Amino acid sequence: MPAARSTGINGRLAEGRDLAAVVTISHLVKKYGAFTALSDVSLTVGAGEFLTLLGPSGSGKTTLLMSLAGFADPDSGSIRIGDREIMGVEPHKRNIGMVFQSYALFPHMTVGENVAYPLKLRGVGRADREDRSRRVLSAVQMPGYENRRIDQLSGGQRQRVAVARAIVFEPDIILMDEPLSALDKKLREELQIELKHLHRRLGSTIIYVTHDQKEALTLSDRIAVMNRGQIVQIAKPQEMYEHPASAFVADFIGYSLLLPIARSDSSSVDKSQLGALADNPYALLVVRPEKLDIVSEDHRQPGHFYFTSEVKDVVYQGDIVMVYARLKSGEDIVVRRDSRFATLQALPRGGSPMRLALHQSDTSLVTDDRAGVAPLAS
Amino acid sequence: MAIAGKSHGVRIWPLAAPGIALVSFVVLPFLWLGGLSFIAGGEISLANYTRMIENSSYQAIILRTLQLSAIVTLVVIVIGYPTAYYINTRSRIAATFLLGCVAIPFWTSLLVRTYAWMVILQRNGIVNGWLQDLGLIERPLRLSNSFLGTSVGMIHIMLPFFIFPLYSAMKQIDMDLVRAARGLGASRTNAFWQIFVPLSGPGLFAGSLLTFVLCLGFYVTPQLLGGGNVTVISMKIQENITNYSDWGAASALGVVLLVIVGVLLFGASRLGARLGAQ
Repeated sequence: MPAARSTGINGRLAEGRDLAAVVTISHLVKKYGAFTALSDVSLTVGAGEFLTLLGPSGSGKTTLLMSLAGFADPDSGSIRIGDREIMGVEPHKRNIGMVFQSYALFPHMTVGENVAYPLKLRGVGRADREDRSRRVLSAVQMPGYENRRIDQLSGGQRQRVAVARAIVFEPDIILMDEPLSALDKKLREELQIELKHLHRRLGSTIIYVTHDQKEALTLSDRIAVMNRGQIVQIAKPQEMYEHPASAFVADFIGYSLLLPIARSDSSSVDKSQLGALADNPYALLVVRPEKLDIVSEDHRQPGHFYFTSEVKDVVYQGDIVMVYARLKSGEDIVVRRDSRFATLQALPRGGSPMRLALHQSDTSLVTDDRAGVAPLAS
Repeated sequence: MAIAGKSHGVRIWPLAAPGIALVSFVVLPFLWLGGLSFIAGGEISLANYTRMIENSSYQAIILRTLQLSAIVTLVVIVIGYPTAYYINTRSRIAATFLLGCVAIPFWTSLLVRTYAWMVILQRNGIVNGWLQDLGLIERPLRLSNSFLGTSVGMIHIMLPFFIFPLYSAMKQIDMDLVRAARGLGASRTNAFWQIFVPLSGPGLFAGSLLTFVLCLGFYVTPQLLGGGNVTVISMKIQENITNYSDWGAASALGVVLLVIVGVLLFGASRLGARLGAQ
């Protein structure tokens, strides 16, 4: 067993061996006075899975993460890592690696001391400690930084050190609380890719919290969208984006126009090519800007919705162009196009009519659950 | 150019007021007293300083002052650190209330507090009364007019000076660091000693230094609670002036006190810089 421990992470870094744990959360409830932070949350995270908790602030995602780490104390429910119940177990006995939003690196210790700290607490000898910290620092692209002070590091470097410290002691699972939110966009995108690669090499179970839907789509094996203390949908990124389960999810992930399809005016929306589809009077049609085609007046093919609109504005944004238009029934609709020369030439001008086509595979119908969208944590 | 310069000069001139005040009320009196310390019997001499070296009672007084200040500072740390820590863990409302409790004696006159301690600690005072009623002692303890009484009074007076800077330093500590340590495997005790205490170091250092330096110059409390049994530098200075009208001797003691404080502050800033650089 000790032999396995000492070779574990380095072995994993080298061979991608899978030693990860399954996390089973059942019926977790946490109330702060009248505010329900977690309302009967159940969730299973597979061994080696990268699961992201996504939601607006006050949705319960951070409370859920803090409950896993042991810094929040749920009122009832169960959390199991593998077959070990960890509810009520003190944080330091949970064997969970955590990366904080602020990184929480100890300013009075060097980079090396920070990374070796969890090993020191576990009674690992000095030579072994230094050896393992060195290897983990290399794994996060920070070789040779052992003797640097924390205040000498840039934001991206601190983030890497925080990750190194969270993985060096081979925790059963790794938790990350918006670890990239303090970085600028370009660095954030670079580190997203790095994290994804590191996850593949480690094969650990990672539970990640973010409010950035693009980050969630990029990193995750699965995404759990939370709202009002509940998980409203769990799905793979592509499925989540293409087939949101509710208006809340459709609205939160990506931009979409939600069109009450049965009530829509036939002069604006032409459903003639869709047969009996979409007669649910409460359903909303998810219309994403990049899924729309600008087509000619006589374009008619099976499986398409057609919209008649008038162009209000064309906004050039460098890599893309946004065409803002209004349906005859009054709803605003946005079309996203690339900015190649030929595309730009063909775009309609402001004030001119525009016919739009949307294939049924590029949309879905959702129920309107937004009426009761919770106010933010009071 | 000349006109512009002149109008500028007129506007800027009031800004020199603090400088002038500093020179007239601090620098000049200091130089005056410093000069006086080198005058003995109407002539320029080092007699005021040589006396301090030759006369062992002066050394005893200086040592006693340092000893009193050190003991008071140590006890203030032992009582003040847990107090500041406790206040820091409370909610904002509770913390404000508790800081108020610390501050109330701070706003009460030093003289009033010292007299209060005299009443409490005297031969027939509350403490002796209780101890006798409980049968712990037969005869009253000598609590006032002693080193012990002086220490108690000074500790009480110095606590706010220590707690406030320490509390504000603790307030700055990112509690995520302590949480991070816990998550990485540190027990409550380990996280406290390995993370919280080192991070509160600057505040602890500043508070202790402030306490120690203020103690060195204490006069009222040792005078009243010491009952003539505790002689500190400030009392000797007063004695030299009021009893002997020997301004030279008094000034020399003042200079010695100033040098001790100066050396301490210099050493502390060096130490602080080294700790900060680590």
